[in-house]
Amino acid sequence: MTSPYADLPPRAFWRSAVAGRGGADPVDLWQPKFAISPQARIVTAGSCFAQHVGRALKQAGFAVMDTEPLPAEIPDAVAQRFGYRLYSARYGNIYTARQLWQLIREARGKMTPALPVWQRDGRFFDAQRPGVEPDGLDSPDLVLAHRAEHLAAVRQAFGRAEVLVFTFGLTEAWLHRETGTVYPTAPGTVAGDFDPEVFAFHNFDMAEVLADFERVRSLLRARNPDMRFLVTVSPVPLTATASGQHVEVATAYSKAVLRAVCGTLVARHDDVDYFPSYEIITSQAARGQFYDANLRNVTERGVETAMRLFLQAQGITPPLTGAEPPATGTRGGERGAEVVCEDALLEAFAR
Amino acid sequence: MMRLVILGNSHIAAPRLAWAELAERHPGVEIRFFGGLQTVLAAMTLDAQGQFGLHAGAQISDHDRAKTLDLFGALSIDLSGIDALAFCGLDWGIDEILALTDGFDIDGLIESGAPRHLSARAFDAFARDVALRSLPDAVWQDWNGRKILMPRPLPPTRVQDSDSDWAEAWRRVTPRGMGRVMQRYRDLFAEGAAAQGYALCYQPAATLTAQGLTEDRFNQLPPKFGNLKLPRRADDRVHMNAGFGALWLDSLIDQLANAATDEPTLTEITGG
Repeated sequence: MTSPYADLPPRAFWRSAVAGRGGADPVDLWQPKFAISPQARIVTAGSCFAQHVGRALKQAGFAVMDTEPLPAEIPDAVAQRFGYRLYSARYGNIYTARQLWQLIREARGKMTPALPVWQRDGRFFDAQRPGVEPDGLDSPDLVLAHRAEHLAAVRQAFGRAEVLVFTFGLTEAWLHRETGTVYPTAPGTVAGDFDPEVFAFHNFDMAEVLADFERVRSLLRARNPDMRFLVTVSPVPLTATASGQHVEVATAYSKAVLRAVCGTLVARHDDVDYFPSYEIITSQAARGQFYDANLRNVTERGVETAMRLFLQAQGITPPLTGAEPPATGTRGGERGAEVVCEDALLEAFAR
Repeated sequence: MMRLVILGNSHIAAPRLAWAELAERHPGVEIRFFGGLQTVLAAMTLDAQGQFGLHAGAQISDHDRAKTLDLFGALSIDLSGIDALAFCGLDWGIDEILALTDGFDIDGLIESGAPRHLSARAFDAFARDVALRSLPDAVWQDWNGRKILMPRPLPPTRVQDSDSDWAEAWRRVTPRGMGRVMQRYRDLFAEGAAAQGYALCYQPAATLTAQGLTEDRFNQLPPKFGNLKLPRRADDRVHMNAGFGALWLDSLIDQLANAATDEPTLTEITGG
């Protein structure tokens, strides 16, 4: 009797590949579809976990683009408090594929977000990236002027990039009812006021997320037919859900949708690869050790493990830990993760 | 008698030369000078007995050790029992601020067509960081007594004729109207300094031109810059002469005597 499983390698079996590996790294978890050359221009974007990916790539010597650079003398901790050096342009966290698609279209003059300026305590915030100016700006006009400059940088980043590294973060988002404009944060958290007549909650399903990323891919490949995509799913659970479900159930739904989208993209396109940082962090074999005491924030060790495996799979010798001073501009309580996460501000509403 | 020690790098030469002439006008003041070139100064430490200087183990060449002895007659200075300590010629980060404004206009401070904009709050945060990094070593935070910073003088107007890399940012200062930026940085620097117990004694207003740079006459150095043997080049657009040093010392002594200072307000400078 023959079985299709008979000749499969140990990595195909749970007992040998997971239960039996103990505390060892899952070295063969990821077999990259394509190598990323250290010279390839990389644009990074995504949820807050994507900041780790970008930082690790930079430290390893990859050509991660920064189209809104600051003088090198300004420490990361100070720069990152104002949204610099987090991603390839100063767009802050992009939690949904819809927001990424919207940003690229806006940068190309194909759409204008509704209600672009939010207010708090007499200060004015860019509704599409409220975290990059934590104290806001003096006037709505100033916000729009800064945004116009930022959009030029976005055009430059996505126009010149050869690889997009994107971390899917959430399926839940807040939309402008009339126009469908999507926002990275709920109005009334960082800035703005929540009016249920104006804003609506939306939980994207798999078809929507897939379609949104397909649109992103089409837009970018139309300009650069050789563009490649490396996608990941953030292992950070939801801080809060507005879905009406238990937050743990809502998290499982969200991650399942995003993971399924990644799987579909990889199956469909040779130019899309998936790096399983989500699996590394959430693995049963890790026994929860890659999560902080709040069971949400990813520990520095978890990040290091994931990124070490990424670099090893790409044939890169990981730099020594601590080779670069860690950023200290942490907000949102992401101790150890050293990332800027607006959604963590939802904790302020926790009961 | 007010006993004052002025520590400093090469900028100490101007007040030191001036003091030889000024001392008799201030019979109630005793000033001692000590320091060295920036690299030598960096090797100096403060020991538990209040001796500041080149102690055993200092990573410094025999040449620099001998030079320190030649310049100051000792390898260290006793700081115990003094009334005030001044840090002369401190690199207070103004060049870094200028470099920042090369690439950025700053909301509400400067609009000169730079390629990008920086928010006022971001500028303040970055400038505070520059200021913090520019303050003397943490060891001085515990120093009991009055501490005064004498930031490095602004370059002379003729810096704008220089073709050196260093002068590049300064060449653009006047046409861009940097007065408000520099004044804002001075305010933030003063805030940061005050938080660590430092008072400030900037160069006197009388040494500045309407454009906010130092008058050229203060940068006209004699063929022999005293006998201090400090480096002097024909294109020196950094160091000031004894005339400058006299005004600066007068200002410092006035300040220590709680007299009003004549600190300039750069926002009033033309083109600000």
